[in-house]
Amino acid sequence: MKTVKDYLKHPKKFLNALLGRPNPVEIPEGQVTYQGNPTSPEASLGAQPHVDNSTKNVSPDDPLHQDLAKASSLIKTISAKLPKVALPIVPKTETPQDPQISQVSEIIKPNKVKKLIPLIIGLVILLVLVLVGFFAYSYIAKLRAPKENPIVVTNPSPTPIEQEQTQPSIYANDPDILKLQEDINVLDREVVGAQLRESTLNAPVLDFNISF
Amino acid sequence: MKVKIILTLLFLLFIAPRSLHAQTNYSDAFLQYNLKSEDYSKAHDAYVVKRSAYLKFKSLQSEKEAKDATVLMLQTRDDVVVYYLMAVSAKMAETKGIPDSERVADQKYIDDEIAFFKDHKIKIPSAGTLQDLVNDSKLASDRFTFDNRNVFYKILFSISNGKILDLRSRIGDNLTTVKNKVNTIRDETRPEYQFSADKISAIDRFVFESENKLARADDKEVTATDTKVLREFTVDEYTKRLGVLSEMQQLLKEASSFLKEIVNQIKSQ
Repeated sequence: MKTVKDYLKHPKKFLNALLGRPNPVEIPEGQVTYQGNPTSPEASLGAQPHVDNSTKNVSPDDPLHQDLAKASSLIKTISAKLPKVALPIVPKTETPQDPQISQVSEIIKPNKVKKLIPLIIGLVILLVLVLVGFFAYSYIAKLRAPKENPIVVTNPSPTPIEQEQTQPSIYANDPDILKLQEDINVLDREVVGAQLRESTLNAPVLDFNISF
Repeated sequence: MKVKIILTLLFLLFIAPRSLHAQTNYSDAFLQYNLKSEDYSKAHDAYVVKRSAYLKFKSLQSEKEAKDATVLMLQTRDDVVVYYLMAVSAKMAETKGIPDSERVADQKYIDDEIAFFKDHKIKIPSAGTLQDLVNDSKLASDRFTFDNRNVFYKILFSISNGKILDLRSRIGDNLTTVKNKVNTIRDETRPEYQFSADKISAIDRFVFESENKLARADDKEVTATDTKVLREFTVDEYTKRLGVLSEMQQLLKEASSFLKEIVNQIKSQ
């Protein structure tokens, strides 16, 4: 079966195929024909050893006849090249025709991949060892480094008044001491608030300068 | 007859006690003194007007009006002095701490001055001329300027001194009570009621300091009441001695704070 690429390469063949005209049979180089003239396809068709009789009665100008003749000659050519023992048909996977893809496919061949696996495993192990060593070194360096007190910035707060924490003695609830304390506190308030000067009792201001 | 007996009983039960109480109540006496001062102010204003009219017109009518206004002004002026002395007396009676001898002597001064001005007030209306009124005013002026003022400021100082002496006496009583309690604690034989030697020593130091402060306060008291070189108890003398009493008050404050500290030491371990 011809692909669109083939038709694009040979637009004449494509045009003939659309118009129903016969295309000349291409014989690959180095292929041996039954007749001496390898360039004449009609001669090669005429050199077929076995031709169906039904086709002989048909006019050679008939396109159908020509197609049938081509097909029969092609089948005979192929059958001559095939081995005599029939083998099971294995479906061929289409391989990409791109040269770069073909190079990659050559690199990733099963044998080469098998050779690369130990190398990859070695690199992974080496990378893991390097990472473990790095973390272990940083951890040990952190342990050996002298500890610095972190600077804690706190909000300003009022200075607490330091009061002596004293425990009450056995006389803390003594009635005599409590009464004495009350008397002393009352008297202390009086001493602090005492006004010695009698400001409201200043001598009266009177007019003694009487004259007529 | 029955009605008279009932009215007499009602007077004795309700009115007489109130009148007696008013004589010893400082606030009432001070209120009466202020009322008399207002009366004097009004009478003095009227005297000034009538005097001006008399000096302007020299008429008999204006002279009579000036004389009446002057009599009223002089009488209200004497009332002001009398009620002022009564207010001072009431204040002295309410003030504790004044020694009895001093209180009696001061009260005698007050009574003498009150008697003089009451007698002076009674004599004023008998003046025949304006010049007689001027002479009566001169008599009261001399008494007020030279005698009354000494009496006023001496009694005011006695009141201030009485206040500070009362405080000194009560602090001394508290110190005695504290010392007795400390001695009781010192003599305790029960272990749980005993204080350590350091605690007892600290309390003794506070007692000693309190005694020192009171001793210095007593020295100030002697200085404030010294009358050896005293001739007149003027307002400057009164202010100067009041300053000494203020120093004594400061010493009493310190002694009182030491007493508070002693109690705190006893109440804490």
